[in-house]
Amino acid sequence: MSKKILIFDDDEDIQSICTFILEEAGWEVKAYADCSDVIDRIKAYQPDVILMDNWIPNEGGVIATRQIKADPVLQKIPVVYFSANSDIEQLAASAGADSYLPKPFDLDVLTQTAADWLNQ
Amino acid sequence: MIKVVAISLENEMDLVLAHKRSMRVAEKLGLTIATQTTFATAVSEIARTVIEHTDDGVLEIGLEQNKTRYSLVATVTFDSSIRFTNADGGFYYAQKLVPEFDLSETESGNLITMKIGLPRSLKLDPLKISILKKDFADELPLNAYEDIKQRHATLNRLASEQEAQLLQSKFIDEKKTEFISIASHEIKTPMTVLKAYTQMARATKEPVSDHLMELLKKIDTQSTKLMTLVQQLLDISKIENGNLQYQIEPVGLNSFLQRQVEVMQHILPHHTFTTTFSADTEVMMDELRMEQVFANLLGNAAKYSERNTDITISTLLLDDGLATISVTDQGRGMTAETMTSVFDKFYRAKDVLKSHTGLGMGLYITSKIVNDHQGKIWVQSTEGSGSTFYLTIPLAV
Repeated sequence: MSKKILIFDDDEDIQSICTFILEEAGWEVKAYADCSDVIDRIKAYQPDVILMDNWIPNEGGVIATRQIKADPVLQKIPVVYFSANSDIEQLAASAGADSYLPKPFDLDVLTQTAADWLNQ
Repeated sequence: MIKVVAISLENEMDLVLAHKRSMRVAEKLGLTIATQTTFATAVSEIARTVIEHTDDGVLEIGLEQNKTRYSLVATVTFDSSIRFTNADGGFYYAQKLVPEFDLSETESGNLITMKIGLPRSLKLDPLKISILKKDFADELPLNAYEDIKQRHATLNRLASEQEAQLLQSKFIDEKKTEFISIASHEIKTPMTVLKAYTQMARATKEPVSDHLMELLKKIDTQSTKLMTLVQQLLDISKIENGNLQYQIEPVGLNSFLQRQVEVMQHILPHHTFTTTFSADTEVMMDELRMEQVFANLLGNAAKYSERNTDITISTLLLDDGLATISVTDQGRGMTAETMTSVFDKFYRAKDVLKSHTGLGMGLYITSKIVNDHQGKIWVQSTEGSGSTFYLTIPLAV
């Protein structure tokens, strides 16, 4: 069974680019444009890695990531924070994300980052 | 009250001023000498009592209109925690001197009001009052003390005005920074999409003509340039606010430089990059920021020299705890004047303004990054035969 990636990003183009590239690399991908019901959605999909945008409707990436990291079951799923914000490093750290990917990103770097976390 | 005179009550010399000013106002209104003296004495007595207790009292003298009648009024405000009783001689005496005397508490402190009704024979009207006000505003200082006091007040006012202006410009500056930060974020998001689609198109397995592939490559190059510009603007705004942050770690120098040269050789295929390294060592650097420095230096070397010329990157280890790295081109070089200003923000040499595009941000950011690494950067150049940029980075201990 192929590994699963869950994306939270409100930009449709970013969603379709990431979906295309990561599916091309052989993984299963699902994307949401907001982070409502974040816990239920993750429990339903059971991803192996999560890509979380910073500016996303509802609570925003920081709060959503904190919710994931506060859940006893879901906290072990790696969260890769991605944003065009230049303070991404601090944002990712304060959210408790496992890693970060600054936008704009090289498509190979996107694939490589996902691969690094999926192969752990 | 129509205010004519105001005096801050700070010390005994203000007492003299209070007395003289009260006399002058009463005199100019045309009151008898007896009334002038009575009024001035009452004002001085209160002023003295206030000065005995505090130095932040304020005396104001003016006129009050009640239908067609006018009164001469003196008010003294002072700290609300101070309580006067009739045991205070001046307070007791002043009450006896003026027909109307009142002590009340207001928001700004205690307020003593003293009033003398003015006879109709003085024939006061708004015009006369405004002339009186103007006379006092223009009147020369009564003595050296008042002169100094007035100058002091003017200086204080100027100082607080300047402080307000400074605050205002700080506020505008913060807004500007916030704007640049939001604007660059908003630009970066579509740029991410643009770059990704271009990359996807270039990587497609479908048949694409060479011409179209060339166009895609150009779109890719230009969007990378645009991203660099946005990033530079953001960096400058961060530098101005002291927000440029570093993660400094030991990094192997030669392999780091080799990587930079390989990346730049790929982007700038029309120049030949050669390296002459001394023994390898580790230096303390923020790798991402230093990548920016070398992209800038190697990019400039290519930008300001002819195609098919050499660009040399060398390292030199001296016994001073620093690694010196040089980037030498065989380009147009620069004038002595340009050499002194080339690291200034937004500086562009006159002779390249028309021939080479740019905003003058690169070397400013580069020098800032090098300085923040406790290193130095400088340039040696001969017009027409090339430039060498030198920079030092501390060795890892």
